[in-house]
Amino acid sequence: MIIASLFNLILALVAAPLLAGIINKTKACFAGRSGPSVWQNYYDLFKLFRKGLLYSQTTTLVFRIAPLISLACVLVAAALMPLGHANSLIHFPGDFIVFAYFLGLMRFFTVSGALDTGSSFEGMGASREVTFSALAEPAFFICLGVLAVQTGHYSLSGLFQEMSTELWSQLGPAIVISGVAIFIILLAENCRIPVDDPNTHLELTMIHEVMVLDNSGPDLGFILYASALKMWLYGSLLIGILIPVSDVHPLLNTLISTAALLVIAILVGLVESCMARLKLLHVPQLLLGATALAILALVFALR
Amino acid sequence: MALMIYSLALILLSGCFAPLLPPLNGFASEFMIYMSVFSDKNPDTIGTAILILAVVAGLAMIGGLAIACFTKAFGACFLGEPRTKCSQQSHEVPLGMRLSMVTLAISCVLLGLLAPYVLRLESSAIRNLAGCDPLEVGSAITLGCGLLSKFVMVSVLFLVIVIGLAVLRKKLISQRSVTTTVTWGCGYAKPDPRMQYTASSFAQPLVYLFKLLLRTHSRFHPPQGIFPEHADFNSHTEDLCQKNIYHTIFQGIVRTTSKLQWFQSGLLQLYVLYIALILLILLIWNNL
Repeated sequence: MIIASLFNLILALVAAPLLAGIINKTKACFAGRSGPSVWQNYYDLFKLFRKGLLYSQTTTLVFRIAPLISLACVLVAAALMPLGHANSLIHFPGDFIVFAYFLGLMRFFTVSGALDTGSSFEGMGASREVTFSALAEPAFFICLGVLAVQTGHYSLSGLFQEMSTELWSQLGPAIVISGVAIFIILLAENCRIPVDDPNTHLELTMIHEVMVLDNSGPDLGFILYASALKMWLYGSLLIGILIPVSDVHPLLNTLISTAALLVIAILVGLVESCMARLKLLHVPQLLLGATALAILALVFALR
Repeated sequence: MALMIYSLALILLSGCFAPLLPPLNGFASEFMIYMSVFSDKNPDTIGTAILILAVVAGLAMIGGLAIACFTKAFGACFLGEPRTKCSQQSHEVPLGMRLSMVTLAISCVLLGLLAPYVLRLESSAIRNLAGCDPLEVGSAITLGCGLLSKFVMVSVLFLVIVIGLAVLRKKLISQRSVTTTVTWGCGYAKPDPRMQYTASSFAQPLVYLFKLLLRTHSRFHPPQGIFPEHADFNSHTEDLCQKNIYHTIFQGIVRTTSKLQWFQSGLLQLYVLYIALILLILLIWNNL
């Protein structure tokens, strides 16, 4: 069993940059372009790791350690997130709380790093990031709290293993609504349309991209890799809740889950092709909508 | 500013501690609160469900807002270019002041990493305070220690990964150039510290969301004419608790007590008289 967990973790570490590639490919297909290769992210990462570093003279220690700590936080979160019904490498009751708070630590350092440059663009992005994530956090906790309380499993691994077809027949509406809420959180936390547009390089409208404007070389590589891995982890969370795979061979489980992750990437690509970024003033409404859905899931889950 | 490395590191640590982020002690406590909410035995009644919802959503929201709050305070005071003349001349505090803060910081880290042990040390106090079956409390403490030791394992893993990544990064840049330049300013030629994001602009989106509650005052004199000479904007958000709660209570106390002011004349003879009168009253009271 531990071999399966380790294999899934390594798969996440290796395949995470692929998801963004698939999203971009989907968008390109939709727009009738050939688009960059799905491996483009890997090329970018290799290029960045072989580059030198350029620091702003305003920056301090905080700016230098921020990318390191961010990546470390996501790596720890990766060790806590299971894929399908296989256990995660480290699992214990309440691990989803630790997962969320390590991502909170990552946010703290990314935002502090951005403010360290003294750039008003980056301050703007940082300000938006803390606002939107403060609104996304309750939805995440209510969704997982509802499912955990209903199944009686307080670890992500136990929770995902409990997602059987029987549970679907009992809690179907609650699970579907939680899934929608978590999909919105996935889009928000990973800076995708309709919350943030990863393609614009117009500083005034960006959130995440603008916070890392001054990062370069290996530091930027760490940040890009961390965000790719974060996407993989939120995707795993979504399929763990939605897909009732139980008691299949570990290898089959990995295959099904990976395929589902690729489908999620295509889905994100479709969302990005079909709609534009929301006005910044409307993003809180979307996130509060996710919270409202989470509360609705609680109502449906009451027996 | 760049020399204040101790203060910077300490405030960074406290910035992680205050929003209760791992791997420090604040998170260990918050983790216990979350788990105690979830470990309710019969979560099916509507009352407990709403309670769980309120606590969990509340804690999550507080966590998010605390990150916003402390990055704002930390960012505005310690990061970026010095914004005022005073902060340009800032310097490190003397050793004694640093030492006391360092002690507190180390305790935060140690309390986080030794959380299960600390919980066990407190077990007799918890048993006395809980006021329920000691056996039940004992098993709850064992459960809590088990959870906390898992959390400590994750924290240690985190620290190991950080060190590993730091070594990797050092290796990656050992053959490469590391240069410094100015912050990228979108081609603007004369950046000025005053152009930085201020604390109030950082907080603006959140303040706007809670505008019904916070009631920010702002004053805006827009530029007028073809060659405007003057324009200014300032906004101020009052502390709600201070204004509505503390201020009201303390004003009430001041108003009541000021009516008794004639009592305190400052004449020693009168005070001796008060003592004598009280003694007299007490004597009569005693003989009734």
